[in-house]
Amino acid sequence: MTLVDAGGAKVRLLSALKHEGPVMLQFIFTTCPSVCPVMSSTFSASQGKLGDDLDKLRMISISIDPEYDTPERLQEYARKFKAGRQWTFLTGRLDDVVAVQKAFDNYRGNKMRHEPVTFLRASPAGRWVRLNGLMTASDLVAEYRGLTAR
Amino acid sequence: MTLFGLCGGLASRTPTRTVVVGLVAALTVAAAAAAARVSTAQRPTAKPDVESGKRIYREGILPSGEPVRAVLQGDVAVEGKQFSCAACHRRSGLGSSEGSVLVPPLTEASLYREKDWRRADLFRKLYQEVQTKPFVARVHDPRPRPAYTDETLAVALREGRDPSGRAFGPLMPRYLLSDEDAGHVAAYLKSLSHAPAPGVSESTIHFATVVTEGADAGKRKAMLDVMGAYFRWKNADTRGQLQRPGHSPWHADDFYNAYREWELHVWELKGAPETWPAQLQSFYRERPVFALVGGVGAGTWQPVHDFCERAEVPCLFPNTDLPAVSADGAYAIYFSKGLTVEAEALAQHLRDAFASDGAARVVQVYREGEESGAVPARALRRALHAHGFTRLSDRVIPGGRRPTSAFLKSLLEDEKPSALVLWLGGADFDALRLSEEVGGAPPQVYLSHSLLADAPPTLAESLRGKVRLTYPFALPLHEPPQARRVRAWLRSRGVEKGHERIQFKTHFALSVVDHSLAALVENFSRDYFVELVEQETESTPNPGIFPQMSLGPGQRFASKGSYIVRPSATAAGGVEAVSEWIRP
Repeated sequence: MTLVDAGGAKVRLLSALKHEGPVMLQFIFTTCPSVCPVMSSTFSASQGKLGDDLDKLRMISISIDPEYDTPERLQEYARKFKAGRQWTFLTGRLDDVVAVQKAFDNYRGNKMRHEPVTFLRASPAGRWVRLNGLMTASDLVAEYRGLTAR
Repeated sequence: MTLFGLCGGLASRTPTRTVVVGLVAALTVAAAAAAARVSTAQRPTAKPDVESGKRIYREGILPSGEPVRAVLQGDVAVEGKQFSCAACHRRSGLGSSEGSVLVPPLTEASLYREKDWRRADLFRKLYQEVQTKPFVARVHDPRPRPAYTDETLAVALREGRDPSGRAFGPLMPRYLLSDEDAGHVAAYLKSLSHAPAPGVSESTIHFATVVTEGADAGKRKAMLDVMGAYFRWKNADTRGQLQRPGHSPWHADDFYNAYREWELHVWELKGAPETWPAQLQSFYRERPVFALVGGVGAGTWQPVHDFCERAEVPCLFPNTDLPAVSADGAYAIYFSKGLTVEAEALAQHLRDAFASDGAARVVQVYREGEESGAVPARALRRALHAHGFTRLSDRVIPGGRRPTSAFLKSLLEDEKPSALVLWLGGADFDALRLSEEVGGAPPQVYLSHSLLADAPPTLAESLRGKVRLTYPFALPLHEPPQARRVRAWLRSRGVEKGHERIQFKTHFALSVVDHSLAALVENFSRDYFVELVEQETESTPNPGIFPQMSLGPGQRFASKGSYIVRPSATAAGGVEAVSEWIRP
């Protein structure tokens, strides 16, 4: 499956997810009124708390409204949340994005029914951990440290 | 490894430390807010001002011009429009629902009196969506939340606590607001969605549809026939509901006050577009309507769009190829960007096609003074230039004239284009034997399916392989079940066949209106109506004119792309895709 990043470049999703280091993943959309700005703010604020880990870590935000969220719109969204180089924003064909959400058991039909969930994984060999609900940046970093320390 | 393999065996966990961290941070924020109060106490206090409150509410900008700052979940500092009140509680102030999150209304009627949840307002939330435990606890709480005062509202904004002492959920930012600024917000909330919008009486809700001069008579009839059938059916259903003896048991009687008869007014605009604003004003003065639905026109839709934005009247889903695409409006919603999205998709297609051909030239032809050609031509130029493709030239036919064979011949000889884009209508091709003019080594010829009025020109065999069409619709191959349902609905109500695309679009528009009004219950605010339309469009069954219909907060075009197709004698519907769905 190939998605497109905020720079318009094609990205093979499996290679992105198989990134050597830890991966944090969220599903968002840029016109989302309440939940996504808070989820993205948590990613954004955790950047300042992760220190050197930022170099080996990859954050991924996949748009669940790919028809509207063009690479340009994702770029603007990334700027708003001061996304660093380790943070990738992805969009693509609607069918593909629905399939990814289903694979993560995170598809709820209408995008306005989506729920705040963050997925973490320490390494390509590790299991995905699903964090339900919103959390503080400190919580996210603590979960991350707990997972990567194992 | 498949994706499923990768994600298999998810461990699930909910963060548990939120409460403690949140509490510590809440105390920190409270201290910061107290500091803000102290610092402003020395300044002269301005009177609460609705306009200043509106700016804070909608834009997140303080009277000083500084952005409103806030803290989320204890440790995330945020600011800006994305965290303004309106971002979640919306422009209407009537709140929203997102996933398992209920964003409650903030209007005076809701805040400044004891809160007793109404089943009718919460119907979808209670019966159709996921409920969280705190939500269930709140709606079943036998003690109503006490009414807010300006003072307890300020506490809520700064410290995230309601007058009963309940702490707000993590989505509500804790704002760093002075007493003075909190006062402005309170003043604005008291003015928000205060009275029912014009166009709604105790018994009736009025709608209008606009038909402009020069609109195709067949399309006009197709739209009005479906509207007539839908309004009759809807009103019969409403009368049936209201005539039930003794009112229905359970929740149904919560909705009785919401039922209204639907009444349609047809606003026929005559003469030049410059005279339409005055005509629209006069129609509106005579009979204010809650919203405009559908509509059919020839040429520009801009004057109708401008009227809607000025009068703050929702204008939903007109049948036009020329919607206002650049305006950042709050009230006009369209099926798609029409010819503009066709041109933008074509630009992407041409860029891809000529990516490795540095000499490829594109020539586009349109007629002087005709928006239906000039608008897509402008969009194509802009979209090609934006990506550095500048080998494009325009050839403009004088106003009122048809392209001639000689014109086309000289164009091809002079320019030797690799692609020829003709933003022209079906009648232009009657006199033009395309096969002869573009004989030899013909370029790829691109036409707009919309401009051909659904009737591709008869093409000579030699050229058929060279013609491509922009096609902003779903491919005829993939007809969804809803198409058969709508067709049966129309047939059983005696609607004559013809212009099926217009009929389906009209039925879809009215279904969205219907669902949105059901969700609105008695809150007859136009802003709220638009917000619900933004939400309901994706859930309304799609009859398949467009592959995907979806809006979201602030989105104005439900379908967002186009195919490039070629005519095909064998394919279903006579066209075959040569591109993926291009979403420029």
